[in-house]
Amino acid sequence: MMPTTQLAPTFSGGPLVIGRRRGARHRFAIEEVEFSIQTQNLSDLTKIQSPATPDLSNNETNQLGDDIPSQTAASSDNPEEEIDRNDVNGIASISRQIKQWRAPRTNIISVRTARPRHFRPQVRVLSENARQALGANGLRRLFEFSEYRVGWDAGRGQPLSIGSLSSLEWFLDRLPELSAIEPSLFLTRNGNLQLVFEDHSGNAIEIEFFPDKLEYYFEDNDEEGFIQLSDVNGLIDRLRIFIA
Amino acid sequence: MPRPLCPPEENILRAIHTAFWDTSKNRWTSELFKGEKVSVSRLAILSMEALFAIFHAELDSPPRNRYVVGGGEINIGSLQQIALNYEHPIKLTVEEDPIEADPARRIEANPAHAEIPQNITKGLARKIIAALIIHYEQTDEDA
Repeated sequence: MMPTTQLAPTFSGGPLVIGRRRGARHRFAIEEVEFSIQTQNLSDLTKIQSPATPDLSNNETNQLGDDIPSQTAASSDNPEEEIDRNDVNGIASISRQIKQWRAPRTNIISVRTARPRHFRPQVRVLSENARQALGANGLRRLFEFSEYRVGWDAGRGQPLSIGSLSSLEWFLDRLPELSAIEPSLFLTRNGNLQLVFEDHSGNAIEIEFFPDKLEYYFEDNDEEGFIQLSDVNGLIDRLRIFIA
Repeated sequence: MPRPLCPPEENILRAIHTAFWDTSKNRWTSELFKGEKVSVSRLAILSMEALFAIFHAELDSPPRNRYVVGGGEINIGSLQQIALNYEHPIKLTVEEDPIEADPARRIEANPAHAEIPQNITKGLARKIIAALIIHYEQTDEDA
């Protein structure tokens, strides 16, 4: 396996770098990579429709996917290395296109895929609010989760869903007060991100982020259920009271 | 054909890895016991040391971005009682489910493997987690 260096998250100057690959092939990307997302297909991106994120279901996204060189190399004992050897031009192309989308803030490139033979890179950038809310520990865990492959929990477990990540960011942008609590970030077996924190009485609160809805649990009154993203304002108001 | 049920006198061990436990904040997720077919292992069949070896082989992911940090032990009878006393009572069972080795899928043989087939909610999962006896593995670094 290609050597990987994992760095502690840092907020000091320049882009946040929480991981990078060692070696000349990726040197060009080191200044730009914030984290990479491991996912299976491009279709997840088309589910993301929120004010905080661009509509990625347009032609730009498709064009982005089409620009990626397909993985036709001969089989290898090390599929990750196979990608690394072939996707450099594709990554550079992604980099240019992302900057066109979201300049000047965007500085993230995905270089991973869960299925090397169907290489479909994914791109995502976290807002400042989301980064602050997750904190260094949450960002470190997010990066770790992005590396999980199919079957990561003893044969079960889906890779991190980029749709879930988008929901999380959307949510954190609307509840910046969470940064004071430093919630813990988890990955569920179906690939969703989940926040766990406590209310002012020490009772646990869990929020699991599906691409289009949230699942919540309040230990205080043992209440759990689902809520659509479009109806989440009431939940956010309630959380503000709980964590005040 | 229904699988044999494990008796309530037995104790089971659930592997705990870093995806489900934030060690730096000492927080858990209900995911540890939530859902159907939760995997557990029977301490009546294999020792804790043997089970930890299996857990590491199956769940650790180099370079340590996911690894087993401990095991949660609970008596099956206690587990069942917690579920029956829960606000939304449910009868839980633990079914024998020994696993044969499958190197191609990185699966270790685990004759002690068992499953809880019923669907466990977040709330009930947290009640179960609260009742676990947590075993931290002694490592060379600790010695």
